[in-house]
Amino acid sequence: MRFPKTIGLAAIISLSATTRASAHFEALGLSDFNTGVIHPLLTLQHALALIAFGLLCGQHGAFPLRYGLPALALGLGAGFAGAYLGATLAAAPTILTALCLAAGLAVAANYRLPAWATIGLGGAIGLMIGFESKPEATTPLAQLAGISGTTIAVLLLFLNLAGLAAFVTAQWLQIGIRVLGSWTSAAAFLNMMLLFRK
Amino acid sequence: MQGKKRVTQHLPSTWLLPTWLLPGAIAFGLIAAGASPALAHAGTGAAGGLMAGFLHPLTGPDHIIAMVAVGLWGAFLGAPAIWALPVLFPMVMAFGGAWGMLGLPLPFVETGIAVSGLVLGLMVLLGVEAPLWIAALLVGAFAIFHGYAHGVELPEAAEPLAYSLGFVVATGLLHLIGIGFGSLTKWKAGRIAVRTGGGLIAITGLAYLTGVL
Repeated sequence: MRFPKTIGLAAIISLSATTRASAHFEALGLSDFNTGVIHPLLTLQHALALIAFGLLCGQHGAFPLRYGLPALALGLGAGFAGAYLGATLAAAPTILTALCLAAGLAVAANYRLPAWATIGLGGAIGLMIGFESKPEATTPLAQLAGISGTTIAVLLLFLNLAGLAAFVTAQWLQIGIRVLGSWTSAAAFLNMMLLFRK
Repeated sequence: MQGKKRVTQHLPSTWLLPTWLLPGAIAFGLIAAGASPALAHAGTGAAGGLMAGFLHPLTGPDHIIAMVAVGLWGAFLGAPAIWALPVLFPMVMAFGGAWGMLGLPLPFVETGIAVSGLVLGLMVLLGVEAPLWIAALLVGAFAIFHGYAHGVELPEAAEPLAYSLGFVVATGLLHLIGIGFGSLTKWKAGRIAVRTGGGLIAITGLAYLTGVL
């Protein structure tokens, strides 16, 4: 039962240890694995989508994790594969923001999505993150390290938020989860409008 | 629901009480407040980034009093308004923000913001127990003006998502301050203090409306 608590504290400590994000984080002088780890944490669009989807999967108990987690993992794998096969998707940031908006709205409304919708949402979020997270390292081993780091960070962030939402029983904390959903959807909506405007 | 039942059956009732969540939330708030602007995939700019967005509602007293008043009034009204208003406000504010961001005209923005402080302050001062739909309608209408004011600055931000997130979180934390202060209404002296706070907010709103501030 201490697992989510430990992850939560680790996430807070990790966040406190971070510095400003620069594009693709080369300037930080981190190893390939660590660069992969911090990529989804410091790329706000990725982090926000994972937070919203994590809260969505945990808000109605741990059961949706049974299909939400595999969908996210498979989507992420497919996204990496697509990126390595040379596929590009210029609209990936817009799609990811739209998915974040959908997940945030569902959390704010305390609405439990049907399983097929959760699977689709998780798969699509994973796919978009995978598309945008191809490591820039040159050697295959370094690229594998980067992919491993990103995968671990994505799944841990998702599980941390889902676990937090699933195991919260006090009513005021459940309301807090909905408020977080409202914040993420509001920020995503504004960002999407700006992306459309451009 | 099956999964939830199975999990929660084995949890002690005291699990995840505020003992660690509260320090965690405070720590997160401090980290967010102290964070450098995120520059991922974006350039830099004077008004850009998370900190610019976070500071925007905090640097305008007219925004601050209205946001705190929303929380105060929500606490006065009790459940479900105490949580419904802070959930509703950011989402409606985002519509206002998009309105401003797209360059669509909205008349009397500053007046609307000043009126929001005056009206919401009066609601708290007078202890008006409006039905939820009226409270939501009123707060939602004011949220449009506040969102618009944020939105017109959004396109200049270096990192739009960070800016949006910053001002949404700052707004939410101001609501939280109002709710925290408003929870004093459980006690008689606390109700007087909260109503006095509402009166001060109304006076400040009036001062903005008449151009004194």
